[in-house]
Amino acid sequence: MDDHDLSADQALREIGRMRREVRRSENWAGRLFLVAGLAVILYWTAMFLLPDPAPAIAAVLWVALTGASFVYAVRQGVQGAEYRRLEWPVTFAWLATMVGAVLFGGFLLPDEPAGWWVAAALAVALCTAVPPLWAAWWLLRRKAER
Amino acid sequence: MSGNGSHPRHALDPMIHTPVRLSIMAALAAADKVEFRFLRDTIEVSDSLLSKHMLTLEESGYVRVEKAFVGKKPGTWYFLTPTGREAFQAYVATLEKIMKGTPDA
Repeated sequence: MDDHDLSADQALREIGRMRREVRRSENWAGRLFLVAGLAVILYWTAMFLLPDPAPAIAAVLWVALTGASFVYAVRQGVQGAEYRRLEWPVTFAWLATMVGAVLFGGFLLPDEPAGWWVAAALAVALCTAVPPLWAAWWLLRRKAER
Repeated sequence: MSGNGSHPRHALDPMIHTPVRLSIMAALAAADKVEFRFLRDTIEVSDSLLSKHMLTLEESGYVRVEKAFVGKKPGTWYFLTPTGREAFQAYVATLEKIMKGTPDA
């Protein structure tokens, strides 16, 4: 493109193109929250309800997933404004639900849960997924609307 | 702002109204922060040309730079300053004004 040939129409089209490129690249955060939300349900279900060695395997996989997520996140070339706005509130809400799950598993859940305890354990596992799944829905829905 | 005429094109900010800087500003306006390599690959320019334009925008107060390491690799992130965001919004408003006034623009 030549500097002197840039018309208003071309300029607006280029702005639209860059906007689309940036927003396509921003989707990583929504996908990451989605994976984290689904993974945390499996993690707590394994920790609460499955026999050995499932909890140990879940813990190792969780640490690996956390590490991989961190590497994936820092390698992205775009950080969206929505992601930045949600990042800390969602992190704190998620941390609170995770602490709640730890306390539930450590102090309330019997060693061999049965009946309503199984339902309660599954409900707690689902609760821990609410913050990341909500963030994923919010970010990906906004992308779909654009 | 440039020129003294009454046509809205005279109000187009020359700091933004060049192909490469326009693409940079559009990318930064759509995101919170953007990394150097993403800009280079998306705009399809060389490292040196992009660096030159980034320096111009930085010196004009439109862009802020942040250097950070990703593992052992250095990364350079760019943000729009409030002044830059305001200037870009005004620039887009002027473009829209031109388009409304002259359908063939």
